[in-house]
Amino acid sequence: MPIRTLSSALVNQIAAGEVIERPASVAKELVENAIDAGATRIVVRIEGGGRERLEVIDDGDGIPHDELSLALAPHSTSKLTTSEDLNRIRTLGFRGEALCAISSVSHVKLASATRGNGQSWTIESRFGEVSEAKPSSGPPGTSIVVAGLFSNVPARRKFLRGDPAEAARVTEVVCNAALSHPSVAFRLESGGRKVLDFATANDCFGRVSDVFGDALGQNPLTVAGEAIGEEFASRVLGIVCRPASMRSVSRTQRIFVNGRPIVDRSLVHAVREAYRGLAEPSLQPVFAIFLTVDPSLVDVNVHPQKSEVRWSNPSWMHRLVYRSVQDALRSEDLTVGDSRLISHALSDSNGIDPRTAPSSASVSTRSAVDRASPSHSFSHSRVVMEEDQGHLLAPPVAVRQVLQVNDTWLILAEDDAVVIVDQHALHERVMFEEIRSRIGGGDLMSQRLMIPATADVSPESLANLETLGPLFARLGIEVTAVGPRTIAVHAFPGFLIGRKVDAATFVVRALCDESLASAATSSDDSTLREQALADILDMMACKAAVKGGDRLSREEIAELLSARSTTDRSSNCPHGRPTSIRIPIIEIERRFGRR
Amino acid sequence: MATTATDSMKIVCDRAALVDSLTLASSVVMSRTTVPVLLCVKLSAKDGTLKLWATDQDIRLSLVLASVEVHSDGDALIPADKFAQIVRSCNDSTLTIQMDKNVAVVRGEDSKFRVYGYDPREFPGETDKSDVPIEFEVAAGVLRRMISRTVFSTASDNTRYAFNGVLLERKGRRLRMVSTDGRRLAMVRGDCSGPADGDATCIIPTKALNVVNRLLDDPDACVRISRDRNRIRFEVGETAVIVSSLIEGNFPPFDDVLPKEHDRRGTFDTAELAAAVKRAALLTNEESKGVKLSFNSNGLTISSRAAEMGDAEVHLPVLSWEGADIEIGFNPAYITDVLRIADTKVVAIEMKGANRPGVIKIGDDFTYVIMPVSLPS
Repeated sequence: MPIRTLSSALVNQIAAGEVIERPASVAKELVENAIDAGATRIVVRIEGGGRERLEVIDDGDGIPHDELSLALAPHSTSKLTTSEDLNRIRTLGFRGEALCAISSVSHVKLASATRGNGQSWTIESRFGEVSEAKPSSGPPGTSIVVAGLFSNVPARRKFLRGDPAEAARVTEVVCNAALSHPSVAFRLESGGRKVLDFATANDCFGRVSDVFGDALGQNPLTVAGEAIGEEFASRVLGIVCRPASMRSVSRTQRIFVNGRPIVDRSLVHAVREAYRGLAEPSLQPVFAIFLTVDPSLVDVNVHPQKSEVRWSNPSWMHRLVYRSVQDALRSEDLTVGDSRLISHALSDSNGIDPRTAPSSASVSTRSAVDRASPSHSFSHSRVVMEEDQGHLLAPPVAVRQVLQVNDTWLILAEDDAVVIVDQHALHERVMFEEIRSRIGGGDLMSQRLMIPATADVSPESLANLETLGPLFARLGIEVTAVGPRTIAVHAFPGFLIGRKVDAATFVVRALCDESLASAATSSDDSTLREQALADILDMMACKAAVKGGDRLSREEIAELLSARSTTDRSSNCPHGRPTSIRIPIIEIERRFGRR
Repeated sequence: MATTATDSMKIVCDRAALVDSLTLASSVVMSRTTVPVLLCVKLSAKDGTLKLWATDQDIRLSLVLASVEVHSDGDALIPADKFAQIVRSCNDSTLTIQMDKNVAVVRGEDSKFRVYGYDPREFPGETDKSDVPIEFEVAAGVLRRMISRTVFSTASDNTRYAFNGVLLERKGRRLRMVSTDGRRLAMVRGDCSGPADGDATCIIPTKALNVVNRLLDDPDACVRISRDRNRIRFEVGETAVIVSSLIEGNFPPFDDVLPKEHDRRGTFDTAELAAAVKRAALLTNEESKGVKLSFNSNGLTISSRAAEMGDAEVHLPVLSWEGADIEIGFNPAYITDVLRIADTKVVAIEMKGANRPGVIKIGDDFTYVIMPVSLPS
């Protein structure tokens, strides 16, 4: 076949494949256009999952009569003029290809009236063939009807899924748009029935509770982090669930950058890392995180659907999110069964607006006090990255009397509850945090052994030494292989020796742990290696901690319990199991039939 | 020997002498056990003398008490702790102890205690007669010096049992005692005398040596030592015998551990060095102690740092220094431990690299090896 230049219709169809994949992509592009046009109310109506008919109506600025035909032309946009603008994109759309792409694979009817002159004009396009604009009647704003999507591209149509599945994706798109634009009212109808209806909300927190509903669980926590600095001025706002409300599915996890929903594994990981040790590892947090960053810090022009972004400094963003979420979690007493939590309504919060740069003074400030419903009141914490001090720790416990039961459980009375503490779990957490801070502070003394401690391991486990060796070294453990199935420990952390942890036994156990070895093997993934390090730390903490069945002296009990209030994340052991259970007096009264 | 519970012992003894013996017995008996007779001291009055036994089943102590009037023969088995407390608290110069069945009645001038005891026949163990011949003899003063220079650096509850005791090695007339907890090692030499020739080694539990050490007040007394396969027996003078089971297991090859050479050597005033280390150790972490020692010909600087606490720096002069400058980390407790038992005005430290063991030498006969710790830079 000879080489030929493709017809423009074909070019547009091919390009459409990149931007427009399914009805949800159409909905996304059109809703974003509506938001960029300054709409305060957006209505989406779909039929047949959106493939038969998809209509988006907004009350935005509208398109002037003389620009109507250009709106459907390729690479035409009102959002960008020079290439410098690409570096500071503040609108959701900018590529100028969405409408063109949509119109090349469907029947589009676009009606628009600008606020000023009020006259409405309609333009139609049938698979790219654009008609003349005709006068019509309608309110200010734009309405677009997309019918028969992909009816000229059977190959693409074949890949669409059933109507309910496609409708669900459209719902997701509208939810994301609603989450990031609380000041805009949204309504979604499918087959004539109302699916979503969000009134204007005062801030993202209010909107999140509308959208997530019960998924957030009791008393979700607010995240408020801020990075100060010329270059990296960024803010994190968000809502995260309490560890007790974590679920086994990851669907209710959202991240937005400047109002744009994104898929970013690294940032999801950052949030999950913040929960590490607060719940079973298999559970997923429910969260919505809103990042406001200077547009120059993030490249959104990576993916045609803009679902992925590229950061100028990804690890820095990871840290900002991790620390912000961690601080929100740290600032709360997360003891299981705690009904006493003081949830004070958010006193001030800033709405997220993608068109507003973070440094701009015009960030809208609204009060959320009137918005917070009784079931979703938020307590508020603020973290400032540059000053990594002043963590709000769990409130100090007023320990009056403590009873050690079965040499395993500590039972104590607090103001309005009875608290049962698992001495091993709590001490394990205390040790874990202590060792971690020692490593952080370069304060983990390693004691050289006079006679190397030797032990036998299987050759397979011995092979793990190569990958685990560097991690051991960071922890002050020096190990070498001294034969095909023998290891020798030459140096070991002093505090573990002090706690009578046997060096050789410990190292053998770590070497035999398959998950540890595989995590450490992924040398390219630093987060996995950090995880492996945390796993070894956890093994250390477990070994160094008092066991269930150890009788503790009064002094030891007092010291352990005082650590409960000064140790980070003391509500759970490093494996995520709770360290303490709180039984409110109210609950006891009820059981005794007094209530 | 028809010692029965019906015999009722009656003795009058010098209180001060009894206090000493009972304190020693209390250090032998178990502190926590479900077998009550193991908490007891056994007394036996016969032929005008009073003998006293205590055991924890590994160690068996027997003492002959001076300054006792035996009014009537008999045995008694009395809880050691309470008995010792009573005797210690009384003011009387003598006390009368009379058994009424298994109850011990202790009488002073203005007091009377009835302490419930047990049937003396329940006390475990055999007679003190030994058919094993004496192997060698050592002066109490020498043994005392050797014990106090080694017991402090043993381990406790280590899974490597050999670390929980002190190695005693005899080669002809030469004795060596060695102890280690895996991070430091102490070795002291001494001399012994016949009657039997021969070489032998054994590992003696720390607790037994501590008890023996308390019996060695008279430096000129003779300590006769005999052994069989799994026990060692110390006869101190004519009045005290301690039999202890030995620790089975292999002592680490300490001759390989002892550094053969060094390229740096400094000498210090013992008291100055001890005080300096102690001060620097004030700012170390409870569980993770380490101080940095920076040696050069101008002196020694000991520095420490504890997260969230602070840091310290102590300087002291060096009496003499040979070799290049060096910085090395040590657990300060390991240094102060050994300086506490130093009896010379000057101690020497020898080293060969920050990763290699350091050696402290006190006198000609004592060598102490300390493994370094790595310190954050």
